Amino acid sequence: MSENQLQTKRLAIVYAITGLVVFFVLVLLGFTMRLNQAGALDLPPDFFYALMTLHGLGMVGVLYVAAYIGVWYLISQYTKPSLGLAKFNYVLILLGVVGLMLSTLIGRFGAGWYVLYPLPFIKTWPEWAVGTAVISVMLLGVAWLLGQLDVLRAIAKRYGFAEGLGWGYLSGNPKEKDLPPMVVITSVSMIAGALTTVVGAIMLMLYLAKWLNPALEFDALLMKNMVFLFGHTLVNITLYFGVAAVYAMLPLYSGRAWKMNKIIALSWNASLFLILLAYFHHLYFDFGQPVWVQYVGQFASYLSTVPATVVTIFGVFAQIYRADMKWSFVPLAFVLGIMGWIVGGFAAVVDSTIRLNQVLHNTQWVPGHFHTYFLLGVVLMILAVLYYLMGPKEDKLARFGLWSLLLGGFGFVAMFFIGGIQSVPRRMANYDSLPIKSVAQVGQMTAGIASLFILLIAVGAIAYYIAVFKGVKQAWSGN
Amino acid sequence: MAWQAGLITLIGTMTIFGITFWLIRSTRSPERAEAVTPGIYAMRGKYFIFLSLVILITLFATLRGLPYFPPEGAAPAYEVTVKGKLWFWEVTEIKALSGTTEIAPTAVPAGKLVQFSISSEDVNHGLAIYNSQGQLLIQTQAMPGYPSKLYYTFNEPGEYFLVCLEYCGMGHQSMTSKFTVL
Ligand code: HEM
Ligand SMILES: [Cu+2]
Repeated sequence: MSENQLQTKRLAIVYAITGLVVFFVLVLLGFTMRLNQAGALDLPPDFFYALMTLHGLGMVGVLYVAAYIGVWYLISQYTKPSLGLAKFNYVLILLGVVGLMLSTLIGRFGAGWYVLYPLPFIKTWPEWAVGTAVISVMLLGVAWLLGQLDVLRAIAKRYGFAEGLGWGYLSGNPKEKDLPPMVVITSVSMIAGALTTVVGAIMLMLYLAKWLNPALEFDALLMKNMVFLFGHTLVNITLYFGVAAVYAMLPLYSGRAWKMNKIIALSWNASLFLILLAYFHHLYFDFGQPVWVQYVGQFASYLSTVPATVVTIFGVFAQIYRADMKWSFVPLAFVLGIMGWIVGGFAAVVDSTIRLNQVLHNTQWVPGHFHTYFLLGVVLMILAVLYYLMGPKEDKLARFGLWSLLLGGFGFVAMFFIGGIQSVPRRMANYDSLPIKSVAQVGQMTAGIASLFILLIAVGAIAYYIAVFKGVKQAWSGN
Repeated sequence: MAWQAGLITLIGTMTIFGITFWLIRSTRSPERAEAVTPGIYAMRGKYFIFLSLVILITLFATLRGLPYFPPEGAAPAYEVTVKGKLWFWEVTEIKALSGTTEIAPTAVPAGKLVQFSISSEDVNHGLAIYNSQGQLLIQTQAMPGYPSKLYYTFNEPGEYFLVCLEYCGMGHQSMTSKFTVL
């Protein structure tokens, strides 16, 4: 292993361990929230919402960074993203995380993960907490944007920008005969990410301006469009990073090649547009939005299932169906992760049907579907990549952890879905003041049962951590 | 309606579970890639056509009767004005629209199309109407600067509740109100 490869691997390990620790703390915050909704704790609502904000922003952020580092590490076999920048970003991200913790835990800033304008500026939390939160998210945004541009630069340097997007395959005349599909997926995701992070940065600057000069007023609908274009896309490309890792790594275990072709190129380039249009489904009930945009939202949400299932799922079939392979931790976590991604995606498509969204919007159905494709989708894929990065060969304990996480995870999200079907609102500190007792009861009961399932998730996570950390020393030395 | 969503998702989930575990088990009898992939790609072609049809039919079937317009052919008979503020819903007025003779009603009559005129005085709120069995009937956002209208015909007399569904700060969970249908 060359010196540069070793440094790359070590930095990835530093990111990985930090990410795993932060993830676990955020799971505990989730557990606390569920206990409170069950009535077992009695937190003041403003504290609950501060925890909720930290949990939401933290999870979205830490999983984005972990998935990014996975892709960054895997792609460094083909091309050289900057090591120095990744170190610099680590510091920026850490500063951002500390800032968010101060703002939420001490300042009780609680505007929720999508900080819907003008909520951050109501006066129930101190002004310093607002400024700290905005600046912290800006630091994260800067780190993400730089990281996205750097990977794009590295890909363009090796393959050329157009070739890296698979356009050679589209025209039937690729210069690079062995372009790894993950390069195309990564290019598409980084472009979508960079475009929308710029939108997010503009929005944050407007927030900062308003913080400095409270007399400023902005259009609430425009701000909501901006925040969801940014937030939805960020979450979406986090999933795509996970999928890119699946394309890159399943062949190592199945023994079958997963080659680039025209259909893969076409489908991922189409995804680039769909990804940017699907966010409209967050605004179905904002009647200020032009009606045709609402149609586009449902249309794009439905269409995004085509590339995902036709190309990726059948690609996974071709990898695995009757392959001569052993189900060690890594491929198992990938395949179960794909399963969770599709289940969560299915529930998302159901929810993106305007007529169903009418009764599901802002109920617990929503945390139901996104926890499914995150906790049971991308988290499993990330755990697989990190195991590949630093786990030991012996993986029995890790596999036990995986099944525990899977069982606990599906039980946990099932409670959200059941709550959603029964009209339990999302984002409520407690259900004590709901005037409809039957809804309050379902809310509390599902939260209580979910808390038990979270214990299984925690057991699974701890088993995985013990297993993977046993390999760190060896991985650090480069073996 | 929510039940339909739940049922569809349950069936979908079970199917996805089934396929995954079937796929994992298939590796017990290994076969060369060249022997199995042509079959998989043939299936992919069929699936593509099937999925496209399902999407087209579902879009056609569901992109109608949307909440953006009043129901076809009916003019609203009553108007209820609702304002959202941190942290309560204020039903400021219930009035009969043209053609009716009643004066200053305090409740909404059953069986008549009602128009809710909704606005927010401060941050984003979400207005959802629940019946007393706890079913969410209909909802919309109340966004500052963007008043909106919602239409509904209540067939059952009784108590109905307004619940805020857009998180709006520390009092969000208690932002509720109610009205009566006679
Ligand atoms: C065991 C793990 C987890 C637990 C126990 C947990 C628990 C919770 C709970 C109780 C809520 C509030 C639900 C409500 O609206 O009533 C929540 C919200 C949320 N969670 Fe998790 N969660 C977990 C994992 C994750 C993961 C992996 C992600 C990854 C993105 C995530 C992202 C979020 C987000 C974005 C919100 C919304 C916050 C907001 O509405 O502002 N969570 N979670
Ligand atoms: Cu509200």
